[in-house]
Amino acid sequence: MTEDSLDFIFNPRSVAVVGATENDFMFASSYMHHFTTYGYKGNVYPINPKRPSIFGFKAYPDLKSVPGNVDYVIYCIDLNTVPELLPEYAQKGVKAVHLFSGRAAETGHKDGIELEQNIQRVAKQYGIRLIGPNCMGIYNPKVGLSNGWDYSKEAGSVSAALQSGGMSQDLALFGSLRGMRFSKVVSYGNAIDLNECDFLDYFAQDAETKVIMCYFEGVRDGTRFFKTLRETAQQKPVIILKGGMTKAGNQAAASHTASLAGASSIWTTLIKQAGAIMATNFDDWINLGVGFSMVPPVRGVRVGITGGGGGRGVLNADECEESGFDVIPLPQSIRQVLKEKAPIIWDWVSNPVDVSIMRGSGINNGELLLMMAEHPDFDFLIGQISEDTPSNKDAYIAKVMVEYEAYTQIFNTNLKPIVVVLGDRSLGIDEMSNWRWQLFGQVRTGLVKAKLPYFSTIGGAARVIKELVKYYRKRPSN
Amino acid sequence: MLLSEVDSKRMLLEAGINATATELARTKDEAVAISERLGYPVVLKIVSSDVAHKSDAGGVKLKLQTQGEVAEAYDAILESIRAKYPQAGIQGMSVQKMARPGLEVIIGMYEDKQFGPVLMFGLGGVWVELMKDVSFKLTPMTRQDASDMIKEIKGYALLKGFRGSEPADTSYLEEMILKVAQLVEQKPQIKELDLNPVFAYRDGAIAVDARIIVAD
Repeated sequence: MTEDSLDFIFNPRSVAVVGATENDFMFASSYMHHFTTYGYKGNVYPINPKRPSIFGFKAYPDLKSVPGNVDYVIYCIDLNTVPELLPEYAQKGVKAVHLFSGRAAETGHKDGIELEQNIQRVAKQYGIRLIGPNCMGIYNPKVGLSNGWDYSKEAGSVSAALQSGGMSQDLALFGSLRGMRFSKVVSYGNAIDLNECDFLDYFAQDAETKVIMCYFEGVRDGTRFFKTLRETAQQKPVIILKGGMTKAGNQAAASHTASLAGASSIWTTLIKQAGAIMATNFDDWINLGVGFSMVPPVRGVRVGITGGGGGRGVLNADECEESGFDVIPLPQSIRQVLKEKAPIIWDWVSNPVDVSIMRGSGINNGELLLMMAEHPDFDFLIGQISEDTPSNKDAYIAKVMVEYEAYTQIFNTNLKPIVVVLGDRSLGIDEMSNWRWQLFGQVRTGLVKAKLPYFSTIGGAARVIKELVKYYRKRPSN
Repeated sequence: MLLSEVDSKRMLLEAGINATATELARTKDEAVAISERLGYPVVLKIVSSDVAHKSDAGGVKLKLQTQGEVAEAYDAILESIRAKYPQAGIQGMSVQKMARPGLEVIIGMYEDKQFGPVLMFGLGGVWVELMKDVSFKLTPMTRQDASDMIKEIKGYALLKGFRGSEPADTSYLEEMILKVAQLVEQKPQIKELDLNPVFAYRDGAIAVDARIIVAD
């Protein structure tokens, strides 16, 4: 059964690394490091006839000599020996093999293609499932498996299936930095056995997975893919980054219809029709992942914006209206409260809230934002972290902390969906030791710890929230 | 292989898709007899696989109200076609009742190598030809897909009625699209299909011209 086999891939009780090495220039050494770094609790068996141990793990000359059974093999040596080794692996109860090694069919060479077919045939005969060749395998922080360095060790609910190994590492690393937390990430490479459809099916029924992200360039079975994607997207958000947007191409255009088909992409049609979400580029894909996994449901478009000075506020309003949001005027009931508390600004402070006018007014940005969060007229809030610099260090830090605390309080108490905008600036090594950039670094770390979704531009945030509204409006709350 | 308009329309009607019933007349007398039977006004079109653009070559005559006009049109078409396409093999003329003009839409299909039959919808005329304002859906299609693909075109407002023109029955169009989807799924030999134009009315729609390409 496919589902059982995928359990042994994502949560094996024991892993053998064939070609394990302490040579840090080889990927096989990285996998050995990751077991320790990410805290894998199962049995680890490095297979290397030339070494007694690898990074403290006892090594074995072959799988035969390992005591007991082995669930999962990460295979890092020459692919040509795979067909003759698979029967031996079957004897040891191996359920699945991660074929890390490549240079097979992706080369386009005849012998590479034949080798893959051979491996496929033997694996099927012995009931062993395969991922790859030419793939990076699994990142599952809950069980302590990883395919790269410095990802978060905290488990979460975003799962992903990617055709590209490098992209799986980018997703895990950059997603981690933004506060995304992952359940199961798999880089599946050439997909001679398990492919994107198998993983979509698995993630659809996996209780730990709440959001699914995909990167792929091609699929083997178009009909199965459309059906699987459609079924999966009905259950959970599926966010797709499509590599290689080739148009429908040179169809024999005897009809009007066929000649028009070339003008648009079948992938855009398919992904939209299946109910999945299509990212426009890598950064948008990460942003969408943050949005769907970290922002609570938003079903309306009335937005309250705060942070930054007047100019920034005007630009923010522009971008929000571009995305179809309603930057509503400050509600009268809030103004009535301000009439008492902040008479200097009560009648002219507006939405977006210009932070620069609040100094000495009797109220600060945070308090006003709390009122907006409590007000039913707003569907969601966008909190900009003020980056302009009219004040000296202490006053400036105080101002930023007021904003940061208001945003985290609103988020933690679930008063109103809120996202933060904090610019990603081009820092060189000298800037990184400057107090201002360290302040923002601390704010960023604080947001990530609080699991508060943030974006580097308001345009990025607005685009994502627009997709959320579209998605959640189709799914009314009960 | 391109099916004749007569064969294409027959295939549509057999699949329950509304189209103007079209018959082949091999002689002038036959053309008149068919016209009498179908009722006026009628449209006469040359039937020849060698003629690519019928109207441009004077191969189409519309709004024929009497036997006399049908007979005259028959001769005029033959003369025009023989002048422009002297080598053309002519099977005869197609005769159909002229449909009341409605909002022109196009329903089409092509076959994607990876994903199979793909349906297309758009408004006819300059909308499709110049603006390429069309939407696509893969099969298998749901009712919601059909509804979505109609709403996705930029010119959708025209379907709802604009400046006094009658609105189109979008529910009927959805069913028509689904019937076309069903037809192409049931007949995998169909490689491409154009229903262009389909006249959409307040209370239905009818395919007035059809182009179906089947595998050889």
